[in-house]
Amino acid sequence: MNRVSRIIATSYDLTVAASEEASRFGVRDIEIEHVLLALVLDDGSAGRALRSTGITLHAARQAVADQHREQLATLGINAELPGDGRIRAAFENGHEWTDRATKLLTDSGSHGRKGDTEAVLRAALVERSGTIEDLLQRLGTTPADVASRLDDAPHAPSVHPPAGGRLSRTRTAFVPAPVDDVWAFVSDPERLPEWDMNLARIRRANGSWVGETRTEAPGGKRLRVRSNVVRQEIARTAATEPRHVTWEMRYPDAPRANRRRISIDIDPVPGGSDVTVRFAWVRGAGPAGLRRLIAPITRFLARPVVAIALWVQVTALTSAISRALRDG
Amino acid sequence: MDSTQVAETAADTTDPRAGLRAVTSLRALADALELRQVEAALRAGMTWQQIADALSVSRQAVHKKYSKRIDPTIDVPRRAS
Repeated sequence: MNRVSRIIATSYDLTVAASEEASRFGVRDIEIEHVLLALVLDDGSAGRALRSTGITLHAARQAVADQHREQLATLGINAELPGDGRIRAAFENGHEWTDRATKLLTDSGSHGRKGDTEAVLRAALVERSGTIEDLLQRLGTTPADVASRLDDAPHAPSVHPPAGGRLSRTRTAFVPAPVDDVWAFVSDPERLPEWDMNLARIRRANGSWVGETRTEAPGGKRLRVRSNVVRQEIARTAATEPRHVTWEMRYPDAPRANRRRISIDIDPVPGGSDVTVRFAWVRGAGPAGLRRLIAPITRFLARPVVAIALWVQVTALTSAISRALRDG
Repeated sequence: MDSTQVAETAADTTDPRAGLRAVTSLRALADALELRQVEAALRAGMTWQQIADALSVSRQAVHKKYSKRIDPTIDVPRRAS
């Protein structure tokens, strides 16, 4: 991954997690404390360094709430931020980065820095308002301690190498829940619509599972979906409790269409689990007739779009699994 | 704490750094409360213009700030003014 793609990926990941954490407090502006919460959830060296100090997502959220309450009290105001503690998905709320939170991102990618989450955390550790320092102290650590853990951290390679092939994409996310809880969630067919945003609902029919493609966005906006891909046949093609599950979705009304395959590996790590999702389009028979002749050209031209679409799909899956397991 | 004490505490400037940080919490609280009130107003059937009038800002300003931030399940009234 080159530097620019890494900066884009970092900013996207942090925006999703930080805006969702901000939504729990009833706010839509992403502030530096929400970036810190997102970093606690990071699956890379930043998240590992923070969690190695004993910080949990629960404790970090509490520290943010305490900091606001105590700061308001110094102004004579006895109040909490009015959020209900429920997460609203990033795509449901129009969030914006505040200037000082944006500065963390820009600092992490400037002057030859890598622009990854570790660089964002390093920028947060030296931010000058004192907010992050105060939060870390509330959590029993200091910026210097976290920085030294970052310096000492071995670079851990991913346990699950990316899947090959142009029609697949792999991503790992840290989830602050034990392996068994993740397994119970992702291996249950009835809970598929909670994390596979492509599915509106699922029901049992003649011994197998039939799903219905989402035709309406969560906000009620109608989505354009071809009628022959509304019905999906869903099968759990592999399952090793509690570490691995593979789901396959095919479209019985469009027999030549590609199938979707979602494989999930769950690995225990300190403070929770690493969830690795592989999303793949499994090629069907492809178009028939004249369209078949031009299919190779179409595929070649569509490659960049397909690469982005796969990234969006696999990111949506990991975000939804993470969101569901840290809600409430 | 009575209102005089609140005013005294709020006006305490002996530690400006802490005071400034506290103001960021106050701003976050005000923004969060404003969002809740805007959502409640839209749910009650108020128009963007009526909300703007109550907040003493322009309709464009309130629409720009909140149209994408509000709960997407709110059935927002079409422009009626």
